[in-house]
Amino acid sequence: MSDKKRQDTPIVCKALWKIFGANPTKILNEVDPTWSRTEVQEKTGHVIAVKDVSFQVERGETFVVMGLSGSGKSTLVRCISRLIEPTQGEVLVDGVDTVTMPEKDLIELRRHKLSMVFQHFGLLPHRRVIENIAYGLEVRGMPRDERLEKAGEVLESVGLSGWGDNYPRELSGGMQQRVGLARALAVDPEIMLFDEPFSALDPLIRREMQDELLRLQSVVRKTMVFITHDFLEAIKMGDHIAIMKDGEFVQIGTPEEIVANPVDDYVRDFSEDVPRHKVLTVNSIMNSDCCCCSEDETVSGALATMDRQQAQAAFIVGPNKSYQGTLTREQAMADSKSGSPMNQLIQKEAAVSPDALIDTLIATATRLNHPIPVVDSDNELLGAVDHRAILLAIEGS
Amino acid sequence: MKLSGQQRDLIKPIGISAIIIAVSIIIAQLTPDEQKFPQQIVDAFPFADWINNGQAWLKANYQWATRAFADVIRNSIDAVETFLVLTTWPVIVLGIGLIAFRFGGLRLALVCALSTMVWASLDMWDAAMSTLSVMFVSVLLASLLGIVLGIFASQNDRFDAGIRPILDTMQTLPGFVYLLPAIFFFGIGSPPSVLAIVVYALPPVARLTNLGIRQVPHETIEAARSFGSTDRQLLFKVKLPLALPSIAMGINQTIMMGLALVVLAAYIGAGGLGYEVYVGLRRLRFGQGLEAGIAILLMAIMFDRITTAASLRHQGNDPNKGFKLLPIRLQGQPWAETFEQALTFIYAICGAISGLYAKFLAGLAQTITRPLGIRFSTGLHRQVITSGYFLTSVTLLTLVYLFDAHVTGFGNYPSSWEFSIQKPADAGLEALTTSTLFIGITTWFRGFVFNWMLDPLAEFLVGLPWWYVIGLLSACVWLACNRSTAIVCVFGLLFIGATGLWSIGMFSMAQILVSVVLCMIIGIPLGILAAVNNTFEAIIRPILDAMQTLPAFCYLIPVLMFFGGNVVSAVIAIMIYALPPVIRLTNLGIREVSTEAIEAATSFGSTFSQTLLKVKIPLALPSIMMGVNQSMMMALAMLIITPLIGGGGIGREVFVGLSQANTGQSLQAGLGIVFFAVVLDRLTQALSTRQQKALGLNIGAH
Repeated sequence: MSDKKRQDTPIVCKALWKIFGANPTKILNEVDPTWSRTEVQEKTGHVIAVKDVSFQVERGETFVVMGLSGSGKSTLVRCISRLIEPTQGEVLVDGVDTVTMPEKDLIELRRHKLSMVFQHFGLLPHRRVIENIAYGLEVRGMPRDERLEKAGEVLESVGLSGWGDNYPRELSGGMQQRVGLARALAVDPEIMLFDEPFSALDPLIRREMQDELLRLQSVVRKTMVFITHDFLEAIKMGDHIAIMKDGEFVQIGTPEEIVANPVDDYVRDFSEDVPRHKVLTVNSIMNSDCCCCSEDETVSGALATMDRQQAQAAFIVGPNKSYQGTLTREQAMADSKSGSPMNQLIQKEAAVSPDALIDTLIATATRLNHPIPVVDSDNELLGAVDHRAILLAIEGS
Repeated sequence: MKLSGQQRDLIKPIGISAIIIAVSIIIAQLTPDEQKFPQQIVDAFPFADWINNGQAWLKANYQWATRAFADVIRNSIDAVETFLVLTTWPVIVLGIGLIAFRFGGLRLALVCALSTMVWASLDMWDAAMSTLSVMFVSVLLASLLGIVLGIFASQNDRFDAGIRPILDTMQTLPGFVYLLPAIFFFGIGSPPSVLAIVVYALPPVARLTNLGIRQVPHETIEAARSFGSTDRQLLFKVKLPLALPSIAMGINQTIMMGLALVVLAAYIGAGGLGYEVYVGLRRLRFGQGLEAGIAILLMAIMFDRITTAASLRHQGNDPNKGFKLLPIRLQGQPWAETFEQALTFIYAICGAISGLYAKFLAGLAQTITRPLGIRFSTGLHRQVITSGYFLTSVTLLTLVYLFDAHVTGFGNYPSSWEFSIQKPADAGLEALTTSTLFIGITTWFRGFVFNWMLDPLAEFLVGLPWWYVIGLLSACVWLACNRSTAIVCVFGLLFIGATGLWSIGMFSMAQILVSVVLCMIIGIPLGILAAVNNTFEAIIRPILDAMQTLPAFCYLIPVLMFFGGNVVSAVIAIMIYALPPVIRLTNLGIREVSTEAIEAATSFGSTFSQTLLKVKIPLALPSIMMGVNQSMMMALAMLIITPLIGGGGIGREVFVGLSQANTGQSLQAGLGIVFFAVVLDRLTQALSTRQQKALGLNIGAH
């Protein structure tokens, strides 16, 4: 990776280790890489929280780290802003290594580039909501009136107008986390870190907060690192997901890749419970070998092709396989004698993009008797999805 | 009989104690002569002389420094006292009322203002002002020092580990012990009391500041750090504000300990309320002592309630919510609601006036300071607006003061408001002490305690060989706690022996044991009664509260009056002083037995007494044991002042040392008490913990 590329990538983590115990550096050199975490703990009394983790997060994406409790995910996210000192490795934030950074620079980095949302909100109970939100600006040294004004704006954007003068304890859990979110947004950071932000909330509130965060993210487009133990949340929030187990990354990929191709049984265990049609895209079930005819052909010619391929409909394409419309068998049969031109009979609806979620196809599929055409952004016909493929995807095999 | 493991765990200590007692009796029989601590060791360990020599050296070389320091303290006390005494009484009453109102609302304000007026009514005004000024200076110093120490300890683990044992020792040492060295450095009067109070009362505030800062939730600190707070910002913007309730609790304890000692300081020539008690005690003027005691009690209640309210307020408790003056149970009564609405209206008007006034002041301040820069002046403006209550109060007090000085003087406290309970109190006592029935009862009780408890036990303990006692106690401590505590125990007991205090120490031990046993005999049934009867609890709770706020000194007077000055009176005084924790924790232990356990017992058809005897009391045992532990500690603290009413023992050594200007003698006796305290504390605590474990409870988690 070139230096230029590195600077464009907001977070690059290289061979990161964190070991808890009396003498972590010594253990790091001595430990046998084949030992499991339990073995290391039994033999040395040290706990390996993060083991040789490498990843990078692209600008504007949400990178989710998913793992069960004790997998080291919370330690990992704290290593990024060095709330926990990594034992070894590099964490490059905009190309600058934070691990070796002097304390003063680190504080500047935290003040301007990073902000964090905490599991139990981490609000300051002795300050009003508005002062909580302004805290990051306050420690930066922003004058009072200015920072309160800014905090007021952010308060509004998370839907808490009118609550600024309350104390955090007077708010419900969901509202408190909105304050936590607002506090992180107020400093206008490049990177936001979320440590299981919604896991202390009720399921309904959690979903509401997830949607709220997705909505905000579509506006602010921050680089986010999101920690969760909930696989469905990971799927919902993440552009990329890393599955973490015993301090190591087991698999990194898009939600689709992880659900479609789990690397091992551990990942498969999670992905099995996932409604696949909500994760997988049309691309993965599309049949590129579909019944299609040129727009120059006659209706009866097309009908003959359908008969030959035992298809319920033919997709009519122009030059460069550009999709023109669909000719159903009924229509073709009814009109084969009238000799109407093809382009009056075909219906140009219902084509989907290969990146669409299967879930979005279901409504269309219930209306149609024939496969759904798949076209790319240049309107080129890529293939079709038939009902059976959709049902198979939902069934999960 | 088969026993479950739990029953065995509970019965084992009883069985072991029985065996130990049997063995001890046999040993005492086998060694009939008094087994004195070897005189050679005592001669080789002139601890008192070392202390006295060291002190003489300090006195010779550094007295100029200590005396200069004493002058500074004396001058500041004088300044405060002059101010308090010369200020007309309505200003003081109003000022105290306003402070109380700020933290505790209208009810507390009225209680405090009325208490202040009672001082005047009892003709104790000057004495109270004198005590207040000593308290003001010493608590201010102790709190400042304590908070600074606490902050440092919270930031540095090594420093914390270093000062922790020192603070522990400072707190266990009976406050009286500090008065002695203080005299020699600072002369007599108020300055040494201030020093003694500062040293004695500093630990709680230091400890609770440290604790409060360390208990700030990890995530809160992490959140603040994640936004780029520097260490200093973290401390001042997050940790200290969050530790405020804890610090306020620390100041509360510091004030209460300070008050206990300031009263005692009468003995070394400090004036004030304590002196009035002391005179009452010396001249056998019951009424005078009682009046002074009431004044002290009122002061204690005032300090306690105001600081507690301050701590609660920091935790978000608003005293002005709900009913402001009337008891909350009157809610729903139309007249009460109307009355409270009227109060709310008055509040609103006062609030508006004070707000307007603050706004006016703020505007004024802003205009005047405009030339100093716009940011400064707007900052000042905001400051002034937010301190409306303070500024309005100060203005109000100034106006009253000026009115008194220049328009019409309020004059002295109206003599028609004065009252005295001296005569009725003295008359009542007279009637009581001359009644044959009363004399009969007290004489019988005195005789019973002496002949059947104190004397045989003291003889038995003194008769035991010293090496046996040291060995036995240390072994018990070793088994109950750990080896290092046992080593401390051995050295402590050896110290008592080597300073020639062995027999006296054993006698004191007997006093303590008898007092604590009496405490249990009286306190546990009362605690059980309080637990099963809500009316009784409602009656006894405020009495216990008052008993615990009242300085130990005050208990001596009634006991002296009723039982005369002798050893048994000392035991009785100790017993009364140490009684509240036993009652309180018995009650608490029984009331905190889980409802599930009680429901289970009831569902199997247990009667009321079966549930009590088979479920509640057994489950409350660890809590009762903690009460006994606290009692024992209080008994040791009381032991040291009982010589004032004829109690002998190790406390007398302290007093003799004091009156003969022999610091070494006093100090070694004081240390002896501390070592006893360590041994007894560790043993009873270990017992309580063990019972908790046997029952699968966790009391410490509260």
